[in-house]
Amino acid sequence: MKLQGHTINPGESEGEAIVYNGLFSFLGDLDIPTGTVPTRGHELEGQSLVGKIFVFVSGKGSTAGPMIAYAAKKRGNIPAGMICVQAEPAVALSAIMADIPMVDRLNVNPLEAIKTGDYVKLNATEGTVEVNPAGV
Amino acid sequence: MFLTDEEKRMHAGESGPGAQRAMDLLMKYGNAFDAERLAEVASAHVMIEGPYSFLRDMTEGATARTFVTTEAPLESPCHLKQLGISVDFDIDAKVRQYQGRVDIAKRMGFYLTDTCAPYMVGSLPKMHDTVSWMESSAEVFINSMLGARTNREAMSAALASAVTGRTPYMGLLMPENRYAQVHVKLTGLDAGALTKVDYGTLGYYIGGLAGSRNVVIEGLPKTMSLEQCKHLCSALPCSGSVALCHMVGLTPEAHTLEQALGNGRPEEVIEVGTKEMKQTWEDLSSARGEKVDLVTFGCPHCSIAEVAGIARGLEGKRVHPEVKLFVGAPGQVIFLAQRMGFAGIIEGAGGFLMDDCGGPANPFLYFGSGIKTVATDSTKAAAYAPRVSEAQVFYGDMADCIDAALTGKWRGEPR
Repeated sequence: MKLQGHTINPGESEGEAIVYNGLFSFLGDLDIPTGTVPTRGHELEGQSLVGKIFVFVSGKGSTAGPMIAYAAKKRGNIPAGMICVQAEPAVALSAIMADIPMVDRLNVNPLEAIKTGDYVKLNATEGTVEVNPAGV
Repeated sequence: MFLTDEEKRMHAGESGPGAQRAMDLLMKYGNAFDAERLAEVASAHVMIEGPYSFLRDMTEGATARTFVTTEAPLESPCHLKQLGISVDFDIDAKVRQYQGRVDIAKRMGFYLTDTCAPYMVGSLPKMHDTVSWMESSAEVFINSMLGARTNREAMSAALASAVTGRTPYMGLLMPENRYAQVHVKLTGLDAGALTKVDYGTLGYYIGGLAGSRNVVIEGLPKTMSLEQCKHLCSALPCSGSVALCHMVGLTPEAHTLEQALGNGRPEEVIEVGTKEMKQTWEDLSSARGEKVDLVTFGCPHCSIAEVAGIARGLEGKRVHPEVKLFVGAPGQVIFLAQRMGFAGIIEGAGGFLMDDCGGPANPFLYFGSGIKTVATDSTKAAAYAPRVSEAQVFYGDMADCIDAALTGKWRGEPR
């Protein structure tokens, strides 16, 4: 299945999807030293985002989020790529500052088209997303 | 994205590597939200903290291309010794590192206002000015009270604007995006009797329902003070991400309700009465018992009138030995407080008056000095203190907080 979206930050990456049907804030929801979600009671609590294709609704919260993403990038503790329904400024700048390939506004709802554990190839420069492509 | 010749030169690196990186960031940011061009900014408000390498790289070979002020420091080690806070790192080494950031700011021509309320001390955008500011409380204040135009900028985007003098033309910079979607009516509230902390409570309640939408409030009194406006504006983005709040008859884009709504119909009408205010007050009051460890004022930074009020409450008295009293204010306000004798009264009583953060990142909370309870008249401090530290909150008027500083006990009555 191949989807078409809109570039937030260009670049290409691929990996296992982790899907979260909610709003995400790099400040508070990402632990810089481990790349896991430390937030108590969070649906993804304790799970690592490192090297994954992170699929979620949008960003939220503090405009300090991009600085957290940048600091996590220095340690390699960031997702390989990000796909969201519609980006807001804090999460878009997080992708740009940490240079994480990211797309939004796909032609289908990514929360329905992609399941946790799917293998996803992201070409954020072209805005394309391939889910479970053949030969992988 | 359309670029002017000057912008093309910056993007090509002809104005140095810092300006080139900043242009790259702003163009990606603008493209992400379909901006067709950049706009020149009349000012930027930036933070010089965050990752050092980012500040260094973004300012390499650059000087400020607009009027730039700096935010109150969050992690400044400069006053730790004076405050008697013990930490597990070498304070002098940290102060030297921090000085490296200050040196960059001075070289860039950034004005080291070190405040979350730059509009009080020399950066006062006029109506329709396009600016690029970080600090949510200040963004709401200048968008709403002054009719200036800023998006909710992250520190990174505001710094890029300081370096280039540009920001993507999008969002709240465009007049058609500035109308209110949420209409707030006050029902059964005596608006004329609302105190400063009540305005914060009101803003917190509205922000939680409005989310990121623009708001118009009907029924506020024309006598609202600077401090009341400041606390209302600062609370709105604590529970949501409101960036613009019109007030009918008070703010420049809301001479009438119809003007604020763009002659359209609101998506939602919210009524706020005594029940909602009481519930919000209780939600913000997380501390139990009565022992107070820290009293903090100045989130956003205190005006001279607020500092005067604190000094009057402390005159001839002593802060309880087991309580820390912290007052955050801009440097210019502190200078005036010294001239007026207010600083001497506050410090003579055992309190601290400084330009560090007066809110959740004030040094006693930020550097973890064992504070379990904090009393404040600031809604923003009350909302964030439990998120950034283990402290729980006593929430009340300035008089209740001063009483707590003197007695070590919280005796404020719930609303």
